[in-house]
Amino acid sequence: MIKRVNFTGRRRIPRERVRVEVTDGPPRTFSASFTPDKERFPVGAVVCLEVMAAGSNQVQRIEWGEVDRLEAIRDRALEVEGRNVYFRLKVIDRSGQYGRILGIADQVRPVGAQAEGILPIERRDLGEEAWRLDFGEQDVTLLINERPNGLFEEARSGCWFHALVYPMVLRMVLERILLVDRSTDADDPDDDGWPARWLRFGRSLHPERMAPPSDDETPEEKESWIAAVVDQFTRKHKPLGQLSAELAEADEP
Amino acid sequence: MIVRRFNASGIDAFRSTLARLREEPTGSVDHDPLSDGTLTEPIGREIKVDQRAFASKFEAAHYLRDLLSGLDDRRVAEDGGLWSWLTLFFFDQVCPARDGRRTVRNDYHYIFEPRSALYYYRHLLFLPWRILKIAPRHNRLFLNGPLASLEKVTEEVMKRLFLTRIPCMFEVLDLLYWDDRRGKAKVGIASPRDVRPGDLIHRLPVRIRQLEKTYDLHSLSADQLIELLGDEFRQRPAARPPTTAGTPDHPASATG
Repeated sequence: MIKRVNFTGRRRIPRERVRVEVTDGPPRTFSASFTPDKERFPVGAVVCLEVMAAGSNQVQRIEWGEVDRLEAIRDRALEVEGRNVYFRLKVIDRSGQYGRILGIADQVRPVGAQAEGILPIERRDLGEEAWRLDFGEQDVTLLINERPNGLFEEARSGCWFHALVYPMVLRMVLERILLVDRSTDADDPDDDGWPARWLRFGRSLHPERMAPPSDDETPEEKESWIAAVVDQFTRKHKPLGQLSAELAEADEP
Repeated sequence: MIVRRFNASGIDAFRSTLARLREEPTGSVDHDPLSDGTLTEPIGREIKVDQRAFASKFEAAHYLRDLLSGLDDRRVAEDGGLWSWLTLFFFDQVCPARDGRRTVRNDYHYIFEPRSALYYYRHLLFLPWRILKIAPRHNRLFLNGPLASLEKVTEEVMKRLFLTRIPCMFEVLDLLYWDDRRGKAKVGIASPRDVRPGDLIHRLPVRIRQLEKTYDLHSLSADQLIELLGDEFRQRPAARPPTTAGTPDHPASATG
């Protein structure tokens, strides 16, 4: 097993130490509490909480206070738009190495939030486009046009979308990571960024559980890996079978 | 004229005007839609706007900031109809005729699309207003040029929210990339093809992404961030701007 060495000195804070609850509005509000392992952080370190939402580039930042004097946040107005809200908590050095992140808890979901899976879906006004992939800073989001009625529900559970769109989405995301951005190491368990999550997802689908190609491998090798992942995805979920069944039903007199 | 906003029909009409002008660059601009009650709606406050010439984005930004000061900034920033209406009103400023001919660019330069991550930062009238809002000081890199153009430096910075969200970033950019002798951006900082040490569009975003894994960049001053950026960037710093402010009309005073 390859031993990972953390050069950053940044500790991963277990998400269980951060509790967030979102209350629907309007206006939407949230409450938060954090139980730090105080021995791990120097006196004077400060905590900040960042609020984000899938499909949005907004970030709401709250300067929470010193780590050993935190009080719970209660009923603070939620300023970001989007259904799928999540949080990032940072403990920051304000003395020795000013601004250094001493600890981080990423992708903290509110209590009771349904797991969205790896691909959040949001409604948007997309003009005449039915759907679009949004490669945001925090997440990749599938945007579905607000019109016509029923399109969003079709995207979530309909066989047309599953057959025609989702395999393409998987391919587009992996191509973006490996061929365009050429980023990320799927083996880094501390990396909660969306490229790393998608590469881990791809690896779990690959028929041989093969790790994604490294950046110095050829584009052809990367495309081959992507093709194997997409092929296995469709074999597993059989979207064409479901679509065929629906078409056959429609043909019946 | 009292400021209004375009409704969906008004935006369609403006789009048609832009298409016609691309076909007929010497054609006239129809301003009737600005007061057409079927194409526009009131904005909730009576704000009077006058025709004027803007010598630079800086002038336009200050005028628009004052014009819209009675409105909620957040709503203004999402009001596609308002900005599109203002653009038609000031069309001679954003798309001036030269030798009687106009070069009409893509629609998104004139029709504001606030929800489009691809286009919102390319609107020629919204952008100066926005830059002045988020960088009331240290904005000369972005507001020094004519209103009708969108410089590469501006485009490359404003499309990257992870840069513009950092409070000290505009001061950092000013210190690193402003050339006092030329009175404009340093040469070679925004070349799309050439990657140069410490350049703005290639190296800076990469280095910021690296640093944000380890540092909370929101906490840092400009000097602290420049220190962290490292030698390839520290070789670039401009002289600190003079502490005395110029007149509001002088772009150099935009450094604060």
